[in-house]
Amino acid sequence: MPAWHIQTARITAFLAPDSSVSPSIWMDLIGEDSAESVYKKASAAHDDSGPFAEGKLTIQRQPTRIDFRHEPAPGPTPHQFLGSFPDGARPLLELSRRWLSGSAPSIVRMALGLVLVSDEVADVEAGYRELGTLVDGAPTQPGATDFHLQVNLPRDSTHVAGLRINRLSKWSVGGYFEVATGRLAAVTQLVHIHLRAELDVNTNPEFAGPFGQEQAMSVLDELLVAAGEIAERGTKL
Amino acid sequence: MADSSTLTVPEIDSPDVRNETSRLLSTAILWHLVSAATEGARRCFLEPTSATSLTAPAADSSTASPEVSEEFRADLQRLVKAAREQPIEDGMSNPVTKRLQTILARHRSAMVPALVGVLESRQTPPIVAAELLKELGRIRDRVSHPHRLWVLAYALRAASPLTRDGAGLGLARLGDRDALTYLRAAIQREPLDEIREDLRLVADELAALDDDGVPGSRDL
Repeated sequence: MPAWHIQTARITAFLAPDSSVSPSIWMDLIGEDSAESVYKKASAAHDDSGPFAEGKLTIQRQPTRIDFRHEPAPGPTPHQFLGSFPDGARPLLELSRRWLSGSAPSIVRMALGLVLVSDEVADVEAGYRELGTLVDGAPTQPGATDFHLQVNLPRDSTHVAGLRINRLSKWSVGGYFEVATGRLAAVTQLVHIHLRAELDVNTNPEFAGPFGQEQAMSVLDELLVAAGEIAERGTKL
Repeated sequence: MADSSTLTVPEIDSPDVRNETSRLLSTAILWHLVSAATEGARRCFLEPTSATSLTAPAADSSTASPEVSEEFRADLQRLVKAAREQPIEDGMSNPVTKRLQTILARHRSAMVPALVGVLESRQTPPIVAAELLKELGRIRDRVSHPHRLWVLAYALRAASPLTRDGAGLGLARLGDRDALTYLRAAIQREPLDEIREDLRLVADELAALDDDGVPGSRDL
């Protein structure tokens, strides 16, 4: 398995239609005011954000859901990480477990979203060779570009009867064009070439719920296990 | 960090520079703008793609927070406006019955936040909200079913009794026993006798459905 690094982590809880999240959730969980608080009228979304575990946490409340998003602090390049997988996700997971065991409202669906990035590879061809060990169909033709594989392979939950776990993953080889502009011209080169896996492991929306407190915790663990399996073994069709 | 004094910089008017600049300008790309700058140089990180337009495939199982597009918002606003301008009568078609299903089919992923926005908007009269909710229940689409159930159950808490009644009728049409928990809670808190009785009738109807959604026999 590649050495995966977590670029961003997200935990989402979808609320039962007759429940809502306390507006003081940030203070309740973090213990101090958020650094920034924004209301987006178009989506009725409240965003509270601030420093958290050497990165930035955003808690977004909407009528239908709550998202906890953890991302690294900005750096000189976009190639910043929360840490290696799975350790880099621990702060967010611990925060979510505290919320689930405390003041969480009725939840009918849960999701764990991770963007994983591998160590740098020599070039795109080398990236596709390594990707081919994780997914089917990675190109072997020299010069191939723009390969993306997105697939959901659901399975039954081992913790909750009648619950399905969606295992959605999106695979690609990515990099960045570095554009260095001087006074007279621009020079570009592809840098930081890496494998990229976007995971969205979640419970099926058809499950009526709501989850009990213990159930929600065990479901979160199950989502993490499923994400770990995908990171280790890839997605074979 | 790039230092412009160490770069080999071609003449600005050379074919290579023109071609490279033209390629950058003509290709639609994703930008990651980097704040770092050195004297005389700035770096930008762009994800590489040969695409000239970016359309990501929608994934039904994705939980990414959906954006309500301007187009979707405008479609719903036009629908509400058209519905406001026509009488809404039982059994008669109106802009909602004619157009809602098509609009939702085009924007399925963002359906819930968009509909919540419409229901909570002051521009949406209760009679139009009620008609929207009734129509939501009438639509037959497996993929959007849980989302429509959520919106209908959510609307049981609306401030307007007409909207709450519409939500009940929508749930009756949806025919899903999973709504019973929310209906029973709504019945408990409903202050108006007439609405409470309507909701009770819907709950009785749903409770009588069997696992296949078929009304079961009842002892008279």
